[in-house]
Amino acid sequence: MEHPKHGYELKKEHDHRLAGAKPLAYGQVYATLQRLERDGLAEVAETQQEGGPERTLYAITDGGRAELERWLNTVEPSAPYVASPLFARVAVAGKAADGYLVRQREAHLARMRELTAEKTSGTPAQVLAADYALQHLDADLRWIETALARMKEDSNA
Amino acid sequence: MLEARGLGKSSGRTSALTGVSLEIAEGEIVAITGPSGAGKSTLLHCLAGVVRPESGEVVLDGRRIDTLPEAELTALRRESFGVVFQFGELVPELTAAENVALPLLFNRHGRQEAMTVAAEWLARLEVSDCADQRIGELSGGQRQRVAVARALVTGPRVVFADEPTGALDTLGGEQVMSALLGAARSSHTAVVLVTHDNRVAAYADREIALRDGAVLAGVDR
Repeated sequence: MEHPKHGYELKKEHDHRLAGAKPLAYGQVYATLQRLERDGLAEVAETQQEGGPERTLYAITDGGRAELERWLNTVEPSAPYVASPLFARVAVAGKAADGYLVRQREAHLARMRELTAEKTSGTPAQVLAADYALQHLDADLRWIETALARMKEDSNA
Repeated sequence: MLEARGLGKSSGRTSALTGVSLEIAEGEIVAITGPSGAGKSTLLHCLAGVVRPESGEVVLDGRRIDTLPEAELTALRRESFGVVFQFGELVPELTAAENVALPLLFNRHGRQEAMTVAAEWLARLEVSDCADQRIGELSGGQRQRVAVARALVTGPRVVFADEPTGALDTLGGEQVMSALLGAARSSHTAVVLVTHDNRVAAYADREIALRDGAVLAGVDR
């Protein structure tokens, strides 16, 4: 079982376990903890004061544990709409987007090279995060490839 | 180090090339990418001296190689090039260690020396356990590592790899790529990698994207 933790510890753990995600801002950590406390999902376990500033340790409640369990088992709805600036540019520009697509493709592949290099020295959490990013970039690249092929087919027809 | 100047190839069963020029530096890892039919494998075969281009030149260390007589070209391929294919193309009647030793035996090394060097390469690719097994007893990933060892055993200038992970699952492919590129980088061997998989291409230092037999403008730098 996880022991009670203060905000700084929670932030560090978030940033470590969700490697590749945007690091949490301190302000956001404390605001979120207060909201969780208000909703009965977390509670103050202890207040420490050893010379320095006061530190509040938070613990998860039974209600919080139930909510966590529910969230962990919730299937994320598959996106009903295509929402991506990449897609929007092509939708607006049509066949004129081919030059843009070639440059976008190059930028994506450059990022994939960085992520692949990071994987060789990464922690397990960083490797998982890099895999996730790599496969999403790869999906974009394959769509770009298909879009370019369709544009070419249309202009040949 | 290895250079192609205006390569053209139209006849035969392979996809055409229409004036492909490129340069590969010593120790560089380059991915040749593109959809099927783009000419990737034809380009690889021209660079590796397996197929002769109809026009243009292939130059290795300042020396034109595409016009060499067959015997000289074969000797050059054995000394300077290593190859890894999608399906290892290893000799099934031999053990893993014997397969790796084979290029050294062709290059007139003694059997004992060849087997010693082969064992070192198998260890480097973490497949020492497979040394005495026949190829049929190995997993796909083990076979490809043995193929990588065989490609590198002669200390070539360039390793040509044609879809080396094509028959493997994602994690198996990743291990083979790491093994291939780790070994190539530490021995300063250039790698020319043909792949249609962007995730494999991302292991390279640079991409040469082919479309319809030509280098895609704006990608090659």
